[in-house]
Amino acid sequence: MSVDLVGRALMRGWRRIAFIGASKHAGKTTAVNFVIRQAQAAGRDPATLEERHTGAGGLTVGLCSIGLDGERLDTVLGVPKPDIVVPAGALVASAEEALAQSDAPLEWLEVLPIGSPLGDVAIVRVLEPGRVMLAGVRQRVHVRLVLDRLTAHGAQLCLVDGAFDRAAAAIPGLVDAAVLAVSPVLGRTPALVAEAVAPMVARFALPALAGEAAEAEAREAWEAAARAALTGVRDRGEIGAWCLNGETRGYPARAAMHRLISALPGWPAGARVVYVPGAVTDRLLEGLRGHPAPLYLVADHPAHLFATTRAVAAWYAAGHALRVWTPLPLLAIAANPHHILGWDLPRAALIEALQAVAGDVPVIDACAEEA
Amino acid sequence: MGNWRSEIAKVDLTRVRPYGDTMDDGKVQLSFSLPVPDGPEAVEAARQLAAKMGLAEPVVVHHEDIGEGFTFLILYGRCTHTVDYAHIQVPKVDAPRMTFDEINRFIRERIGRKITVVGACTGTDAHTVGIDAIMNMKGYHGEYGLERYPEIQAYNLGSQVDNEDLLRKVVEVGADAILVSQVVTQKDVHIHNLAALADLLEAEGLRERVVLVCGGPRITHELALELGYDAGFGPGTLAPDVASFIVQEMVRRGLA
Repeated sequence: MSVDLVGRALMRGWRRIAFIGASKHAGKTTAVNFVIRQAQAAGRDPATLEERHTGAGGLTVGLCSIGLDGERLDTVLGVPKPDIVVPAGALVASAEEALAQSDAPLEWLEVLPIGSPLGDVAIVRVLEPGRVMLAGVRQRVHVRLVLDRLTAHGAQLCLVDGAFDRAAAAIPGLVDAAVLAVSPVLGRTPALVAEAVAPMVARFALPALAGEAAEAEAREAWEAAARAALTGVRDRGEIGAWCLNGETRGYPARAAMHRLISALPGWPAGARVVYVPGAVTDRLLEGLRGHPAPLYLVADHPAHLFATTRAVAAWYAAGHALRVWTPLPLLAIAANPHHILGWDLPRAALIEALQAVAGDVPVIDACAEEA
Repeated sequence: MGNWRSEIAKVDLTRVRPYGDTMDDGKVQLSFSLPVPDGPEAVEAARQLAAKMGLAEPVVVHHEDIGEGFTFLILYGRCTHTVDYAHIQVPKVDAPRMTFDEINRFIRERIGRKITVVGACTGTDAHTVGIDAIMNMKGYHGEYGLERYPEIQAYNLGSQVDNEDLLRKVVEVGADAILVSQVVTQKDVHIHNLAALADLLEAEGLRERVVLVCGGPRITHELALELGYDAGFGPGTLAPDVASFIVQEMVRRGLA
């Protein structure tokens, strides 16, 4: 049975979706095509929420990629890649030279002030169904502008395709949710794939500091006070340390780049919560692991967690915990049983293994499911 | 005497195949090793493999024992496939190549200050040949490296540089551009290293402030763009190719 991802997104008010790969060749393009097809069908399906708003014709999808997608051959292996197939009416942001390689007839709407080696990024409307190549958007700051302009031109659901295993576009404020694409590149058996994916799912499932949702029962009573005290620190883009006695200290964002964070001048030995605005790396965790009290390390959002599974495990083993300031929900895990080199894992077993680690996040087979 | 030029077979650019001795003969040479002892069985195994690869008339022209029960083989064969060269479009670095003097003058006149470039071979990769060819003062193939450019402050961090250490140096010296060399590509480890650096720069809010370039034997411009880099350079790249792109990209993006 098909999972109505578009309906799930709309029900929650998620209009901007990032696609990230758990590895290279994870099937992001296949997942994007799956959602495009569902969005196209949404307006015609009386069961979906959007029917009431748009009538017949489907949702207007806006598309861009941080990186490059839609090329005919894989840039690493040279094997054929799935095309990005867009319906008439879709809006696409891509570099001019990449658009010239697309076979869908296009209406030029706007050229954005985003230059690239493939020409300026333009927003176009697809006039007839066809294939498009997405390129030219390489930085997070570009994505923000592109999404705003796609929305201004009428996009009702914006999809941001990622590149390889990059998570650069999967950040709250930029997008509302993410689809995690998974393939047998991660392991030769469904169990190994699930084992490799579990830490990534856990990263997106990390509770927010003083979050209000399901984790409320597990929340420490002082979390709300810590969050309130650290809000100003975060607004200034600083590293923050908060103690149970209310003492709050801020440090320049890159102060910990050249020394251990715990060696910063005046670092409070009684810190209970540490907020880090930038990347949370193995080195950062190692530098704080010996902290004398149990510590909550708060990353700004899940995509800022760069620490390896081993470092995270050691962190928890030392009695500390991880939180995020702003979570980013997973809309779905898109399982692609097909390995790019030609072999397949058993579909049902892969879905089942992934669902076991996915919690309440739906797992879809983007290859097999009819949108 | 006839017009010999007119008698040379013309290539059909919509149906290109390898050239060996005559136009369109499809002749190719390939070599590989097999984990079997040298001998007639190894030769036949190689011939059958080549046939399965789609080569017609495969023939083993050289084979030798390379020890430990392995055999090295060289084969000829005929490729029966063609490609449409006329309609191939490949993203490539589109910055006019300038000379050493032109680049330095461009920096003085268009940027108005010295620029800073940090280069490294990242991850576990211990091969400095690529980054040295671009950065070392003596340069390579008759072209000075970036260290020799009076208008470029170049820092070559060498090999096996962790992404975090590279980032630290970038912040310390206020780099305008980052060059990452990746030579070792087994199991596509270079992809992960390169992608991780791009994400790390985004997380630290540095990505939009630097020109980010990568290079190596398996790096293409298309791959670099997919990874979120500004440009990618493959084999045969020299310092002026990289420097020309960096300085023009800086001006184009208003980083001057």
